[in-house]
Amino acid sequence: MKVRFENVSLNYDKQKEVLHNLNFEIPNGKLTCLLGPSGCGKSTTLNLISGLLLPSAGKIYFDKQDVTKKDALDRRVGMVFQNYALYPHMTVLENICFPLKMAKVKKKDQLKRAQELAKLVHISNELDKHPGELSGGQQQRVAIARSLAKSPSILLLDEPLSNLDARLRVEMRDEIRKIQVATGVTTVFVTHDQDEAMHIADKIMILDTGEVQQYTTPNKIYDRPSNLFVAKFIGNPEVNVIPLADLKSEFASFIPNDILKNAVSLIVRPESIVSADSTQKLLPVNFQGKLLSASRFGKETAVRMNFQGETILATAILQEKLEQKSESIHFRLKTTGVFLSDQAGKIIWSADGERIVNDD
Amino acid sequence: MMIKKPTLKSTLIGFLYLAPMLLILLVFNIFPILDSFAMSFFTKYNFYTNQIGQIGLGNFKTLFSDPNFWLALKNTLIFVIGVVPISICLSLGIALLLNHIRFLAGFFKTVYFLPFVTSTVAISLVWQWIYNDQYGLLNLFLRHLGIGPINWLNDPKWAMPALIIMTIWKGLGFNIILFLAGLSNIDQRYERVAQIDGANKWQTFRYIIFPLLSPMTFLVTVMSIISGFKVFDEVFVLFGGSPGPGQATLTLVFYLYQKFYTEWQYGLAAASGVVLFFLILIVTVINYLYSRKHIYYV
Repeated sequence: MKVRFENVSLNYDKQKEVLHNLNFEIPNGKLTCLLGPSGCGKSTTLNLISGLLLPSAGKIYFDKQDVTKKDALDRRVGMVFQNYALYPHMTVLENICFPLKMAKVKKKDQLKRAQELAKLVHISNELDKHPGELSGGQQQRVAIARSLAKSPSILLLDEPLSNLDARLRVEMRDEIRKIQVATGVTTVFVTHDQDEAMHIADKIMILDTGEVQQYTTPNKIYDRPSNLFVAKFIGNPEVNVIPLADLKSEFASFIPNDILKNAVSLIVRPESIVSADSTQKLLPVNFQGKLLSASRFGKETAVRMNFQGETILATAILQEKLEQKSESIHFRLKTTGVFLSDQAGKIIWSADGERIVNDD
Repeated sequence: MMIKKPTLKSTLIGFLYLAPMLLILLVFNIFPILDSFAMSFFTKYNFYTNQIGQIGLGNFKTLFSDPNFWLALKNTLIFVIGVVPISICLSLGIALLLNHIRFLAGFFKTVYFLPFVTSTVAISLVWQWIYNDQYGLLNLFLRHLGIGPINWLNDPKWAMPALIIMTIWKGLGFNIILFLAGLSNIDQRYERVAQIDGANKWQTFRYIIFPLLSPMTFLVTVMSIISGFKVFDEVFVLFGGSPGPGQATLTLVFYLYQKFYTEWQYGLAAASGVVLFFLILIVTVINYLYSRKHIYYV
């Protein structure tokens, strides 16, 4: 089922507007991530989809049906919370059956459906236990099974993995993806972890200060961020932002003048800075920086250098190149992961293509 | 080293630290309990000189053949059965309502709690007026409903209901506070999840809130039952020192009081105290066994 937001705004207590004029569509049968820093409005957006919150203005559609005024029950959403919220006094089986019991499904059918779901999320052996006896990962599986029990029109996951340890998080991430693909249920997944979003989502919506910053596929968000916020938020380590004022002449040869005159910052991903003798596809510019430090972390080498008064970070300059003990480094830029932004932070040029057109 | 194996010496030192509290406990709690148990077997006994003339089961024989004792037992049971369920349902209902309102919640809490902190004597004075058959507020109200004047305090049929109503009213505030504490311990997200799972308000209460509240309900029940079995001062002041018209509100503790203070039958009084003790013990054990099976402690 498709979800469409039309000019949706929300204000708490009539003072602070939390969400401003949201317009977007969540595609049917896909997994969509709402990603953003805390306080960006992503959980609020999820609660608007669920019907636990109602918008102050605008309309929400499920397919063609206007559900703006309908509550969570009428919208038939399934929801999984960060802290699982399993009923502690019920067994796993009773937890999974609860939505079915409320829907007055026959006992026999309840049991059949619960066993089916338990198998899907791999908790068939834990059905008689209470939630308190399960590990975090198992509790999350039960919560997912419960939310799927009544075949929801849409499955909403509110930071479902935040309470798990790192390893389990990766495991459950893949598990959720598998379950989503197996059931084909339209899923919205809220997270603040970009890594999680990049791995699991068909589409990512990046939110900040109650507005959609960019909404497209994970790779496109990485390759073509629409603004400085997205470029900084996605990618680890963070992008280098260098004032362009003194470098304009270097770029004049290959960047159209009308773009260059509006550009104020050069944005470079750390892995797009390579040594000058690299044989990769490079931009026709040649820079020189002063080495500050270089340290290796496993497969990665972090080189810090001073360039134009800014400290920039490069991760693709090989350790061997640095052993010549020279203080200055010649480097060049790849044709990917290099952008120019204007005064407002909008990205107006990307090295891997032409002008940025905000598609999708 | 901090953790030592217990030796005779360290155990003695431990007891030495506990000694002041143990002494108080022994003198004021353990000894009187044991002494009153013993006293129930003294059939000939001088309370003032503490001279024991004869020991036997005579007190219990007299007790069980005294129709007044059985009347007191019956009245006490009626009182407990009349007070506890209504009191719990009412206070739970009010607590649920108070839990949902923000506006004036503190004010209402105070109002409900006031009777609990007010002296029973003062309360009874007010209720004597409310129950007055000619000028009473309650009869005035009932007259508007077309119900004839009821002689609450002088009619043996109505004395027990009058006592029950006043006791419920008096205990409401404390139970409400306990239930509110229990409710505030229940995470609000369960209500939200239940809403998404399709439970309406009643189902949410029936399947989620009430089971999660059960430890508190259990506590309130046990405490209400125990204090119900011990009822005395409400009777004493509401009926002016008498056990009600035609002994209609003669309770076990009132019986004990009569035997001890007005008839000076100390052995008999102690025996009835022992019976009361075992009665409460049995009820509490039943409660406990029930709770082990049916109450889920999170």
